[in-house]
Amino acid sequence: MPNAEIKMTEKESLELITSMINQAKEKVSESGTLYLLWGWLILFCCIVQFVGLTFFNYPNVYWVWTLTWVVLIIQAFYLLNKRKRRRVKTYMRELNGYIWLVFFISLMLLFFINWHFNAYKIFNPLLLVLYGMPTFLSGIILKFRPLIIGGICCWILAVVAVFIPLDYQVLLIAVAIVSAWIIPGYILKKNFKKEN
Amino acid sequence: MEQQILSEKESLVLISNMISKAKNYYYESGLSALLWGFTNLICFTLAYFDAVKWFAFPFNPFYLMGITFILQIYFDRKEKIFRKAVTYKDEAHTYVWTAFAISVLILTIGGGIANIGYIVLPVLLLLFGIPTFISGCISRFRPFILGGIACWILCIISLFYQTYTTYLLVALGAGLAWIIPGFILRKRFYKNIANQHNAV
Repeated sequence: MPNAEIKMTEKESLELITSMINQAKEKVSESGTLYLLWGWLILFCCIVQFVGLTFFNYPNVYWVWTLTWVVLIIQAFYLLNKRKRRRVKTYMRELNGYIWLVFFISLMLLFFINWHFNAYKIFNPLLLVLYGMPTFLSGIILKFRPLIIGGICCWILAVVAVFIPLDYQVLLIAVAIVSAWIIPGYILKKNFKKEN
Repeated sequence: MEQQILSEKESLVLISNMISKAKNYYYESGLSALLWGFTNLICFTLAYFDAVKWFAFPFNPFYLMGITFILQIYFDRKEKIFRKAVTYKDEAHTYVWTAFAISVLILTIGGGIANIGYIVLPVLLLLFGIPTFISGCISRFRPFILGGIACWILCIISLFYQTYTTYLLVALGAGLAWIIPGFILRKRFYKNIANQHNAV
């Protein structure tokens, strides 16, 4: 049976376009899982490092950061699995993916620079500068203000970190993670639950 | 005003036309890339000459960036007149480069206060790569993607030099990331203008 074409007014056409845009917007919505996973993990590592160094004077406490590699491998499997199930790949999602890929590459390069120069004093402020970039840009892409504010918080804390003794800089990273990933992560989760 | 009745097919044609029109609105002349590319190339080359004492400068060569900044504002205003619409891509580009500018500002100010010295140059190359690569991904423009990767490779190379030569590596990074893609964009831009004139 041939499909009968539905006649639409200009207004109806616009309504159709708006509804399509809204649908696409819904698909872009984030559940906040990854923000929360990484947020809590890094917060845990920061606190363990601070307590280990300040109260127990235990130099091997840095090994706690190995946990991030374990989670990275788990995340890779999680994302691969999610990718298979995904129906559509929007331009925004693709762009967001590139931003976090660039963040990962930059982070690896920064670790390499730090390892090469033993530049521990400046490492944390630089780390905060890098944390701010993808957070701010993801906020812009998702049009989600808490992430934008979180990114700006990271940059402010990066400047503050320059004036703080090395052992306490890790606490600023903890604050940055709470403002940039944990709080926005919970708001995203709440919105996601409401939408679905 | 009488409302025009459109069939599903006609609506789709209308949407496609609007999209292609918006695509043509995308206005990238490559001027900013060339402007900042050449400024960085000149500043870092002059900084190298200054560092190896080929000749002494009466002022810090990086002050020249202030002039470029004023020129950028002037060209931005001029380009706005020709720009027919601001697309999502244009907006994304602006924010990516704003984030980059903030990061460079923090690095130079914070680095100056902490007196980090040489390390600022590899980190600068690392930062150069970030917006260049992302911009390349946004506009699917391969020269920018390759330029971004080139900056990261130069960043690794710079770790093994730790001499004034690194100034030249940063200058090279600016050339690969912004000047070459800038010329390609400029060529494309003039070609588009010529095509539009021919169409008229």
